[in-house]
Amino acid sequence: MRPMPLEVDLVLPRLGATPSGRRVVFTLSRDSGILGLCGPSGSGKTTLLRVMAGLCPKASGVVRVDGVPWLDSNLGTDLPLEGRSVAYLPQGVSLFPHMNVRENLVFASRLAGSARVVKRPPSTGRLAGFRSFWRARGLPGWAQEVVELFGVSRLLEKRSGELSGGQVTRIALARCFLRSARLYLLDEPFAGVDPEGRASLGRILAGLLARRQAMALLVTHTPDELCSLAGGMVRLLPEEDGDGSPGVPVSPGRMSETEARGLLARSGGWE
Amino acid sequence: MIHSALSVTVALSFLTATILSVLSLPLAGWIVFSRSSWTTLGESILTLTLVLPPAVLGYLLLVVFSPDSLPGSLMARLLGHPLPFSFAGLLLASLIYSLPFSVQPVAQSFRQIPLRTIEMARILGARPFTVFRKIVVPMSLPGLATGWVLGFAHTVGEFGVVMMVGGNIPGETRTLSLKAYDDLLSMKAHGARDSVLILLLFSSVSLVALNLLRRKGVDPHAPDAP
Repeated sequence: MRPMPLEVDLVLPRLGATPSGRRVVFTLSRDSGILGLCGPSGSGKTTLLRVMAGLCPKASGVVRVDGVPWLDSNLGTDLPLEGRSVAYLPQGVSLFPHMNVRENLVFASRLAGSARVVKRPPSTGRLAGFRSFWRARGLPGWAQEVVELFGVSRLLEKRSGELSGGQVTRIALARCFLRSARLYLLDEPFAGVDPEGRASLGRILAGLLARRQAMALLVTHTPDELCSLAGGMVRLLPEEDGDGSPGVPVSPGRMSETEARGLLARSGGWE
Repeated sequence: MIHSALSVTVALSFLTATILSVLSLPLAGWIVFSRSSWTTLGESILTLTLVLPPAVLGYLLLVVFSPDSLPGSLMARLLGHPLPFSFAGLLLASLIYSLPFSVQPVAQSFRQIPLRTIEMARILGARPFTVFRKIVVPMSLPGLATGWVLGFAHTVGEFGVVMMVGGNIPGETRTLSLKAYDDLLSMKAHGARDSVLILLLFSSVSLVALNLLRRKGVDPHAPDAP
């Protein structure tokens, strides 16, 4: 039997406003696609993403991707960020202020490029030095495609202070997707973008994920806009409801392909 | 006469400030980013010369630099002459004396970089050294410049240490502040006044530079920041 693409069974640690000891359980059975994540402020959405990205050392539970344990506190496994095929877009992200947009993207693409296995023709001496100089200026072809996809190729020479919130959002998304990963963790990735822009960004995202055969966990405060995109929804409840009672396992309902449920998390509820 | 004292002072201060700026990067990086609990002790030792009387430091350095001690004899063999009363000895003493003035501004700049920014670079796949080279250092350029200016200005004005370690040899270890003192003692009022005026000029220029840098450093997110 093929292993489940994504299995999560976690007890969230205390981080900021998040109450400790909350259990979150969900799985994603499709190979690619978007799983929505919603819930009121302080319900642990960001903590959940940080745990899954490997940025939170005090987590306990299981995160398994394609059967490979990224985190398994029973086995003592906790892969660092570098060991996980994950790309994380934090909430309210900003660009590096000392670089313009192009330099931001080149920085990310070089880091992503060194990770991918690219067969380069053997080049030597001065020519190689010259090439690497030009590579520092420009984006490689594959990165150029991503940049054009998110519609930010006109902004390359701008400094981060000259951009609107929505433009920063698009650039940050493009920068995140320069990394090829199995799982994308997106914390409110459409912040500051107008409704039409959100819809088109959503379609771009869905198409990209399908092409890359990648999964995304997407935090949103407006679950409605994910109707057409998300294969399912994980809903974290506010603290009062999670008083330690076993909770109600909710049937997946219309989520025929995706099973998203939580012992303390109720699922469904879009449409 | 004033030319030789001036060139000794400028050479000494320039070398001290430049070497310290280079050294301040790993030192400040260690103080700010290391999780080791030794950093508190390290930082205390680094800032010791802020509170130590210069004469005390000069005396201690003379003892350590002396060819009778192990480090002093090693250095003497390496250089071909004993450290005390030479330019090399003066430079080494200045490096130690001005160290906190160069390291503190850099460490302060490092601390002001938001942790989110550093974490973002890590998330994009940068190794710690790459983060340091591409994010931390470029974002701390005003702090580095401030450290250089402070190191320079502080070395220009030092008196007690250069007196003890340098020995006031004209053309070799006699700096402007020593020359002003000598001239005053030997009733050469004009010579003392010229030295003091030059020292005053150095201090004023440094202050203006520091204020310009501070204004620049206030808002690292300004659109036209370099």
